[in-house]
Amino acid sequence: MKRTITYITFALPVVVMMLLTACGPAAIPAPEATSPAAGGEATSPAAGGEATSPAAGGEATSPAVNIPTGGTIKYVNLEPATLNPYLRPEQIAWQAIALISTGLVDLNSKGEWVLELASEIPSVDTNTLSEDGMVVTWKLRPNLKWSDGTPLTSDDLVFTWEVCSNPNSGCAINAGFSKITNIETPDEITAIVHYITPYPAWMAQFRNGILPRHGTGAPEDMLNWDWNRTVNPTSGPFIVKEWVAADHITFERNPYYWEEGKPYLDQIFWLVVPDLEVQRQMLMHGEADIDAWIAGEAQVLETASAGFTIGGGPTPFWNRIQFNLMNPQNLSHPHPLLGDVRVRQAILTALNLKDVTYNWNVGDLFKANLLTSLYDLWPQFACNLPAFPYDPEGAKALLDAAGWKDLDGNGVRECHGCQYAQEGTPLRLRVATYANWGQEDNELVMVDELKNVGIDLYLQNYEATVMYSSWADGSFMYRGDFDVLWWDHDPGMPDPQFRTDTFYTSAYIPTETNPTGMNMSRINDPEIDQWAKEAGSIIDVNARKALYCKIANKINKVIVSEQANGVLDNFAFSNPKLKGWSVNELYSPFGWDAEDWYLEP
Amino acid sequence: MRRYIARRLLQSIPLLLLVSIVIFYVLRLVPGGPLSVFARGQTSPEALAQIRIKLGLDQPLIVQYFHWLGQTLQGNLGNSYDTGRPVLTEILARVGPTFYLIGSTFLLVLIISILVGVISAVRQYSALDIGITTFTFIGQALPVFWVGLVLILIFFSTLSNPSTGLPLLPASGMYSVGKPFSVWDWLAHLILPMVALGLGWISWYSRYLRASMLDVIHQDYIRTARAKGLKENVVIFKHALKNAAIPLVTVVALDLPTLFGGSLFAEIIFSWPGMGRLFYHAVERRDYPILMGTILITAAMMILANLIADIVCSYLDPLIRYEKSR
Repeated sequence: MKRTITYITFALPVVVMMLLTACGPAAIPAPEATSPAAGGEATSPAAGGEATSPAAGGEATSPAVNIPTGGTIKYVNLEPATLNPYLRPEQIAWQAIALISTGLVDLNSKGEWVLELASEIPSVDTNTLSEDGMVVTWKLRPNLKWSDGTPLTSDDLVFTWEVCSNPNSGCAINAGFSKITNIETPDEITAIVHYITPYPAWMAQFRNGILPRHGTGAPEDMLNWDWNRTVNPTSGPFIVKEWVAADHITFERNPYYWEEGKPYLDQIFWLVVPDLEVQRQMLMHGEADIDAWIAGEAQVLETASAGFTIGGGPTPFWNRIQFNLMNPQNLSHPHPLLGDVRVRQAILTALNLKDVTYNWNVGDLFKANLLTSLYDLWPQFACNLPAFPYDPEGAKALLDAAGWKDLDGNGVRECHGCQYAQEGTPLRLRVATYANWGQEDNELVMVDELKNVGIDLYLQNYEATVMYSSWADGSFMYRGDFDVLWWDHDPGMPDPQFRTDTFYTSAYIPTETNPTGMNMSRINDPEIDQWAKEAGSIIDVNARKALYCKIANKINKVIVSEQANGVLDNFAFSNPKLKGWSVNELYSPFGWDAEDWYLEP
Repeated sequence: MRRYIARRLLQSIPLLLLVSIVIFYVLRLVPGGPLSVFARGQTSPEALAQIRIKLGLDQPLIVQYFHWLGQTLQGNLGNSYDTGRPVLTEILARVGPTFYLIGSTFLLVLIISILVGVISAVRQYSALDIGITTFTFIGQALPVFWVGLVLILIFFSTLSNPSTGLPLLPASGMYSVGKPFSVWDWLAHLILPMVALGLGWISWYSRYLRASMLDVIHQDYIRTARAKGLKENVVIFKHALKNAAIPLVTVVALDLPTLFGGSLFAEIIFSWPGMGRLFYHAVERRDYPILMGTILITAAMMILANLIADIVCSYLDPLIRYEKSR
């Protein structure tokens, strides 16, 4: 009997507590009501002198008298691995980094450079950019301060360069830093950057952020800096107050943010919610103000029709259907099936690329654009080449001419006089991609469309970690073990030179001795190599555009190694009371304008 | 008994070493690698090569293993490839929430399972037994993630608190972020994950105990106890349950490592910041130091749990104690 009582004693309180809790007071308090002036420290203790119009030539909102300040919002998302802007290229990390990091300049939603920590954009006219593009003089705004109140000076730019040019630092986003030979700092607000060769992406050099010399650590220890999570001190609109692993990050306004009166919000709770549908349910039921990761047409439409505001996205990830020009079994020989350019042309002609791309359209909310070259993402470099026309009959004619015919009548063409394959080899191709990126329907569309012209396309989906790993880890992508590759990556903003070099030049064909190259099609074209080299060594935009368009033209019309198109990667929705945010389709991460966000009363 | 425990603990050292070797090599046999997170972004191939060297991934496996072992023997499990933080820091940040969720669930599950198992056995083939059996079969068949989502749809998305109009129960996290500590709040956050997680366990344990009880209550000594005039509750709970619980103790002990390992699906669905998510994320990212740390500690927990099970069994059954002492 004693034991019975013991069991009941244990069981009862739990059950009673459960019942009471379910019927008890509000488990979750109401979402933060807008409190127009609650705690809204409109004044910043020592906001650097420039209290007036913050962004010459920019579109940043000037602090307006009628914009309510203060308030807290909840932002549901996944968890970033780090907040160090030079460690991770992932979108999730960048959405968080956008809240705490500010660079010298940034791209606005029109693709224009706007000033952040810099007080002017270097130019030849003002003698801050040498004619050969090898010396760039950056001027910081006067009296800039880190979030701990210490001065942010040109020496911090030097430190950022020291870190990212150090091969032992683990700096992952280090484009251009190794080309810097020296940075002179004649005073606290001037940094004269000397390049060893003209560096076309000089404007973006310090766009990602500045690392503070104090509060971080030795460059070679960067991977393990405490600062990577505390991010204290920082220069962005918000600072990290607390980071509870896998649970939430609390961002608070940076009292020393350079733009007086901003950010408008007091606090942002970044709630780590791994399940995307739970994220959306939280938004729909008032438990979150922003959901930056809504995927799926039905979900997007339902959220939109419930009255939530689309404020971000689509993020232009670059989606590529890419052909292996070489034989996967022997990479020094042409691909037996795809080696003939007519087969590659036939495939792209047989595919209604609008089906593949436009499947990403979501009702009337967004329309995806069929971009025909990498360069179309940059307004100043857009080549706007014609896409392959959808012409199944033309595709059949091309295959016939290339010696691929279906003589046995089984619906799949075989080699009968083709260029590289053995007689009788069926035209059967493997498209390799990775699973769970929402492309499954599109894969089936591709299979059907190619079946119509006698090409047997079959799918092989891998785990993303396998596909994107490395040569040493056996990634089939690097090792050239595929016929058709379907993959995505960021477009390489803010300058196309990085992707031009790594995707199209022969120096970046992955091999055992050069295992990290990313020229997956294995394009080996001396002309492209030369054009890319030239484009990478001049700074004149028009001249560069001409070279890039030559490359794009050759890739699309002569080599026919890929079909690229933009992808609507994700949509961000917000509580309609959250204002001040705008779509930036130029791969500025969602949150790029967080200092302008405010809650409407 | 002390010597027995000491001997078992000593035996576990070579076992753990063996586990570490096997896991170290098996993890690296899995396709994919930790650098994949960089390949889609703005990381240059040159930087990627440097990061590989920085992480020591360019070294032969044997060198990597002994480097890891040397560090581990000094109490340093290395740093996470993903966050750069020490593995132990990452693990300690997750152990508390895991203990809270799994421990509470375990407690509730044991209480309910024992009651349900005993009632079901004592009322064999009654309507109640059939009802419980049906319920437990369903409970065993339903996956945690599905139950979790259904619970969220019902208690978060559909039902609301009549006084506030807000969702009846929270769907995410361990507590309401940004609000002062409240016991109600913490308990409210516990309910849905506990139910989702506990349902399967209750079904499994209660079925197990029912079968075990049915074996025991037909034994002669139970009949003797009844013949002596003992009250039925004493017969069932003091004499029958004590013996019927022995196999259950072993089964429960094998589940004890989940107190450390957490539950992946419940943690993902309910955004619970526990070990299951840490482990899953590490698998996704091929974060070898985290994987090595968590697997090794789980293996140690498994060994410890078995030892505890042996000790508890010997307490419950003097015959086992007698056999061991011989």
